[in-house]
Amino acid sequence: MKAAAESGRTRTGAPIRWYQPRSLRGQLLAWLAPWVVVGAVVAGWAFYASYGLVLHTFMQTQMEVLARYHVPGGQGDGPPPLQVLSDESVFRWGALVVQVWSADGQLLATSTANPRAAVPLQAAPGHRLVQQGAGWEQGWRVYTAPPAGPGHQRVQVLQSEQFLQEEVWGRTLYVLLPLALLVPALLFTLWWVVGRASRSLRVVAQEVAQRDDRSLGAIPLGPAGRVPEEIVPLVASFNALLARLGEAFAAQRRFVQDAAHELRTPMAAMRLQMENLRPWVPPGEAQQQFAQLDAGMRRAQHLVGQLLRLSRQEAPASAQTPAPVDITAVLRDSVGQWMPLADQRRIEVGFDGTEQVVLQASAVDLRSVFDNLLDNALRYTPEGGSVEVRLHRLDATAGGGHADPAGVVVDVVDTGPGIPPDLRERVFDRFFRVPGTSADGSGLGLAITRAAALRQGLWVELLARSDGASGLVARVHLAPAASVVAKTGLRQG
Amino acid sequence: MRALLVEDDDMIGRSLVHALKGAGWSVDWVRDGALAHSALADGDYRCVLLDLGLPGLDGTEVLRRARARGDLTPVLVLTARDGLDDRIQGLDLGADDYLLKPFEVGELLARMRAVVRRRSGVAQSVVGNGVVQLDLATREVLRGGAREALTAREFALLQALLEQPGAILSREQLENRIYGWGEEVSSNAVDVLIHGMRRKLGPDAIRNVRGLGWRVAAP
Repeated sequence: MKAAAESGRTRTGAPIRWYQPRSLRGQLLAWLAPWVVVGAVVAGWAFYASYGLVLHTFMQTQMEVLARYHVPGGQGDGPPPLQVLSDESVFRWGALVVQVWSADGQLLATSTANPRAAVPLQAAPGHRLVQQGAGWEQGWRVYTAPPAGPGHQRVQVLQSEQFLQEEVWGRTLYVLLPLALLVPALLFTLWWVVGRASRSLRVVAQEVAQRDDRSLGAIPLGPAGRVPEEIVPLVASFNALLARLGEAFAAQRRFVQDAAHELRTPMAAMRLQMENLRPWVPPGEAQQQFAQLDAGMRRAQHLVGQLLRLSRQEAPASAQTPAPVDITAVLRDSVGQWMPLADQRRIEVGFDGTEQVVLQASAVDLRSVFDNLLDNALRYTPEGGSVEVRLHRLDATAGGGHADPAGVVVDVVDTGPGIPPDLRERVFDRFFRVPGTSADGSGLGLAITRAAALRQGLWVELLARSDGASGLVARVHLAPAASVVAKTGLRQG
Repeated sequence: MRALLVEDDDMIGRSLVHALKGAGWSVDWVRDGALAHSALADGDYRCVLLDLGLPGLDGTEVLRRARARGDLTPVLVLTARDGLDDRIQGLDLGADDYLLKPFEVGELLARMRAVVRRRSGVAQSVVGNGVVQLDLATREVLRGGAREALTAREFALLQALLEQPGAILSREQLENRIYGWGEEVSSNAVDVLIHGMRRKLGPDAIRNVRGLGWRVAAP
């Protein structure tokens, strides 16, 4: 009810706008374009008015001069000879038409025979506009000269209003033409300049997007003019923020490393003392207690080791340069490292895969990914179980040729208890353990795995076994993480 | 055999002295870099155990000065710092080996023996992992006190495996070791060789990891 009322108010309360541009470029164009058009219209009107005035004044003078020239000297003189004008010169070129009238109002002579120009003699002398019909092209500017005396012939000079109007309009259009060209040029320039400015903003945005906790370098301002002056303060304060952030990250890493380092020394001492104690422990109950103490010691040692590894992995990896890495070779080394644990727990380890995949990546990070996944699988698989490592292509038709990593995954499949679906993302969180599990993991292995994988652009996920048996599939996609995330619709982090 | 222990932590120092004495070493224990420097200058030690984080003169500095003086005593660095840079720096300065705290006494003693043996210039004539030993001079294999002769290919294969005990070697890697360039390799040659060697050495001496290759146990 409330929601409905609110949405209604929003709908009716908001002012109605015909156009709401969201971009800076759109807003500038929307605000400036009408002003430019209004300016052009006003300029055109002003020119039309002033040029019309000038032309009329000039023409009136011309008409008066011509009329005076034709006014006869005395009474009864014959009409002076008049040059006959063509229609074209009258209507197109605006030639002045001269009419000579007798004192009693008879047309004695005219320079054109065109009936449109049959303007009657105006009674009062002076200038006026005479309409010979409807429409502006039927109008005439008329000057009736005052009679030289009683009984004298009268002279009237005409000019076509059609010519005058066409003349003024034509001139106005000439003036408006450059303005009309200027409007699109102006708008285009505006569009271009804003585009250029926003492109440099996008460059800055890309630079910002490339920053993460491992690369917090300042955003370059670039050569002069690359970042607009207005944006420089923003970039500068962003750089200051990045610097502070980098210091905070460094301080945190230093703390974790110092802490792990400080923890290792007393643990080494305890370890040695336990070793020294071992021969003196009497058999029976005491030896069982000693074994438990020993196991607890190892667990603490493992945790400190993982913690230190995690903090070190998150430090900028200057030494880890990507190089072509043969995945099968890395898996062989990694499995070899864990075979003693597998033997001890009587777990059958096997590898299956014929794909030859070479990845451009850091071998250290890849080892970290597979080591932790194998450690996890061996830790949670009950004694006598099996761990399978599979290197295979997900979709046989997808992907390109030989050694193309797209669509190729490494699966580490165990026969452990598995992880409920709703916890399969959470176990990547640090120190998170599935409730009820008994194995003595540090809770950091999968966090280390994901961090190392993401750093190499790989994606790690946990799945149920496809054959329905109890167990877990840890899958490493050997393709850029982003594309895999998009494909399977998984959320990251 | 005399060893110099440079360690500023009391508890570790005492425990180590105890453990090393138990293993037949006589140990001089100093707690700071300056003392370590002078002890190294006068003493004649078979091996030095050096902690890096020392008060006063740092462990890396002690090592640098000793090597600058031309002292070639084997040095085993014991440290809680395990960053790649730290390790590279230690080895660059002339440490013979590097052991990360906390460590097992058994491993420490094994590494001490190894650096002493390496430095004494005696060519290593036996490689092994505690289960099987390979005599490089006679090309014989020792297992549980018994000696067995090996064919040239069996020897090459076992030597390859024992050089990296614990690591898995692929079929291709093993074939490269037992066959020369251009030699015809039959597809099951490695299987046949290993089958024969298991009869000589016992079924567990060489283990197969399905899909990846073969390995011998790490010591």
